[in-house]
Amino acid sequence: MYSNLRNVHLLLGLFFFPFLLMYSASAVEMAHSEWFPDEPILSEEAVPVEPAELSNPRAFAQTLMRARKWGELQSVTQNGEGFTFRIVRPGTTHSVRYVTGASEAQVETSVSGVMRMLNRLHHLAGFYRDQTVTHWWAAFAGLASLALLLLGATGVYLWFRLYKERLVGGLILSVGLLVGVGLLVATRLQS
Amino acid sequence: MYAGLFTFTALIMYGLTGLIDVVRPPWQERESPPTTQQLVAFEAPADLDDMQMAQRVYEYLDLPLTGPPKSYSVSRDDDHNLAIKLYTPNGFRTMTLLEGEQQLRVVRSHAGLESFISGRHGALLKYAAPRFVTRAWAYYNEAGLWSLGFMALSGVALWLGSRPRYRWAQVVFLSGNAVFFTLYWLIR
Repeated sequence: MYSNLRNVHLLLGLFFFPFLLMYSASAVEMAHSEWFPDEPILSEEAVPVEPAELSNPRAFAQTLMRARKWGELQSVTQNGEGFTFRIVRPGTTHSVRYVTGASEAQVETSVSGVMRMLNRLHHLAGFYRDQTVTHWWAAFAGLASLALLLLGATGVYLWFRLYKERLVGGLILSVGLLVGVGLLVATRLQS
Repeated sequence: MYAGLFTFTALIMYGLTGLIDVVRPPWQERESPPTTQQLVAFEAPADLDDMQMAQRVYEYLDLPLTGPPKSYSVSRDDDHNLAIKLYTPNGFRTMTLLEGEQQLRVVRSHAGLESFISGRHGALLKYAAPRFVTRAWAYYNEAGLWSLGFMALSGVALWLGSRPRYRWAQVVFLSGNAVFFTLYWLIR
């Protein structure tokens, strides 16, 4: 039993190591954003607009998405002067501007640094987005969460089997539970 | 090990939050939580602007789980009454100042347990309300998020120091990294 659970603990921890590290690092980034100033890399390009897309920003957005500029379509505006929109995915934003009469649209792409990207990944949960890759991410995020619960349970068991560590560990666990659960209950009971 | 034992509650909550967020619909599609309403007598001073009045209301009600109102929490409703909406881990508190009636209408929204847990996992010191219970939790949560990274790194170090040739461990470690970096690359 001990040996099996030790292996389960090790293998779970190793498989989900990058996910757990990502969650921790991005949480530190959120807690101390002043430590990690984001300096996104900006680039600009001109993309030809097909005649059928001249008055249809959504159709043009789809063309861009097929060219690996995929993401969620946001902030679409259209008037006599042309149209603008943004395509946003974690860490990357494409800002598109088309002026009526032109044959090309200007696409400005902003790619965030690693820490900002990790921050966005931290928030990328759920299966309600349309892209398959985000479904895969959601699945592994869910498995990583489940793994964290199992790592906690097996970790406590493994600690408990180390007889010489029971006293000190027991004290630390008790204080931690008292503080953690106590504060949660105290918060929940207040109005 | 000691870090994990001390922050055990936070780590379990992170796991639960992750599972909750995987199955929850986007926030726009979530059902509104139930609310209760209460009228409180309040004499509004006539010489305050909206932000000052919001601050006065906040001090008067002495809400324990929220910080002072910010400009984005203060607005005017359709009847031009001052409305103040403040976040608490247990749900929003919306106060409407009914000046003609010298009353405050306090609407308490009762967040479900899943929203409470999700909210507490994201409670950071820089946003914590200035009360003991919220600041103490934010400190504990901060310990938890550092502890998670420390445990991940120390776990790998312990593996490399004890059983680096364990074949399954090597395979699993490489597979996990391959999955993570592939998804990272595809999403980016």
